[in-house]
Amino acid sequence: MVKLVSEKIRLDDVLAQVEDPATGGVALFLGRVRNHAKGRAVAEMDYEAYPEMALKKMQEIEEQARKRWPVSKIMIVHRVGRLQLGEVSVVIAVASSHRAEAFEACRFAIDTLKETVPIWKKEYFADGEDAWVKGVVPKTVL
Amino acid sequence: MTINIKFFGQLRDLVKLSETEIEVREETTAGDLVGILGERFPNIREHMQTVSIAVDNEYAAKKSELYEGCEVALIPPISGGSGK
Repeated sequence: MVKLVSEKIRLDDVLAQVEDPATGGVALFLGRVRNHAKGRAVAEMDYEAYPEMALKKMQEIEEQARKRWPVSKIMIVHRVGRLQLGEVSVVIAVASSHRAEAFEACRFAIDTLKETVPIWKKEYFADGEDAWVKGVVPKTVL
Repeated sequence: MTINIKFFGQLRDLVKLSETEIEVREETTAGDLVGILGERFPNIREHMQTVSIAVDNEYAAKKSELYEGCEVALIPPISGGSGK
């Protein structure tokens, strides 16, 4: 399942979505807002998505992960809007029978998300300035 | 034909619009549109080299032809997730 949310991501809810008694391993990745960028103190971060397309690309990541690994459940959640330091911006949870597949699929999902999903972030620095984060040109073929 | 354009991130800040409609000739390609928008909005021209185009929620090649009523998004380099 994939989601874009504007409120705080609740980890309990995410873990409940990947609940499956047949799986022994759950890999969980969290991305959080860091307090620095290239030596400057960051105060807040604003995430913007192209929602329809972002969800479609996230869905494709889930499909690809399921093709490559025996994944039972996968949850990809990205938050949008203004986030404070330390807040969780992205969560990937993958449940699989064994940990190796769960780790690999989770790693694939976060790496691919950063390469294909149309989301942008703007940093608000402690000194009052702001700047769009220099991103990567998306990979257009998965 | 009429197409709908969406701007995101830094490009939206620069053109001060999140979307607009424009009239283009039949057979206009995604690549042509980059040129057309660069003419119309000179302050984003320097960014157009790194812009990707999406047509109806899918990344499109520069040579793909646009069609009546399609939604074209200008996608500047992306930065989802957390840090690098």
